[in-house]
Amino acid sequence: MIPSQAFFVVSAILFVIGVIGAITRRNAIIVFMSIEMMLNAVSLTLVTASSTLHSIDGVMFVFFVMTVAAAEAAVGLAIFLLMYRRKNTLKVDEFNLLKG
Amino acid sequence: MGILIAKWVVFIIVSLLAIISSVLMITRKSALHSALFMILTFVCSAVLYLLLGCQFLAMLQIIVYAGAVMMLIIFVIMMLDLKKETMFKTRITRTKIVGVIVSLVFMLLLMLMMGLNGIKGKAGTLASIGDAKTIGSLLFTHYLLPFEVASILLLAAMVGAVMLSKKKTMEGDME
Repeated sequence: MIPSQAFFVVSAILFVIGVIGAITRRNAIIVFMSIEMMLNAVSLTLVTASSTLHSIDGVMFVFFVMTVAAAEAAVGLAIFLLMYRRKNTLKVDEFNLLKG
Repeated sequence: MGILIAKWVVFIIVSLLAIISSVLMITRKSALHSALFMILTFVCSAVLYLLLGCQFLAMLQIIVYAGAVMMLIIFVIMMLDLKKETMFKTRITRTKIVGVIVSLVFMLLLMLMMGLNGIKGKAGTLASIGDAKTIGSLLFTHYLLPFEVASILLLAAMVGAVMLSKKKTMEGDME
């Protein structure tokens, strides 16, 4: 049995790579994919915990996380299409209507 | 013993592949290349799920994430003309440097905490967490309410996506 710590370390690395991608990139689609990667890393943590503790809760949680991610992808990509139609670009810096 | 060594070998190769492809994903200029490396990362994490003995979720990962979600993303990337985005060099600002340093420190802390402590808690009694039978029967008994809520969420997302992409084209026709 591979110790759960090894999986935790891998998922921590993947999560932080996702965070760095979301911070540094300006293309909205790549930011979106980085967020998906963070979700994926958290899912890996949950499955590891579930497998170590012989309990199904983490697996169920990942199941619902996947559902939410699919819904989010459908709506998010429709929003990206609208953004592109409006400004002809997907750079996140260009979308400053709310003065953020 | 032989199985354990094989598991370690698979684990190390797959996790290195996942880390390398995710680093490539956030560094490639073209969004399409990023999406392809993202698929590789998802497949690698499906293999990690298999190593943890969770076959059903591994299949779901490949079908839903590497299949459906990434197909949607690639579809959108190909519909949009993102050539302009790849022309610009990514500016390195002070905010970004500070952000990267802070997240690396965060990673070190996470690895320290999780690597040292591992997980503690009351262990359950399930023999196998991976087969579709266990998950399915629990999904329709103990987790029935979240399941129904998830179906409503999916319906709302579907209607929302159709509305968002339809309304604009009608306005565009009128203009």
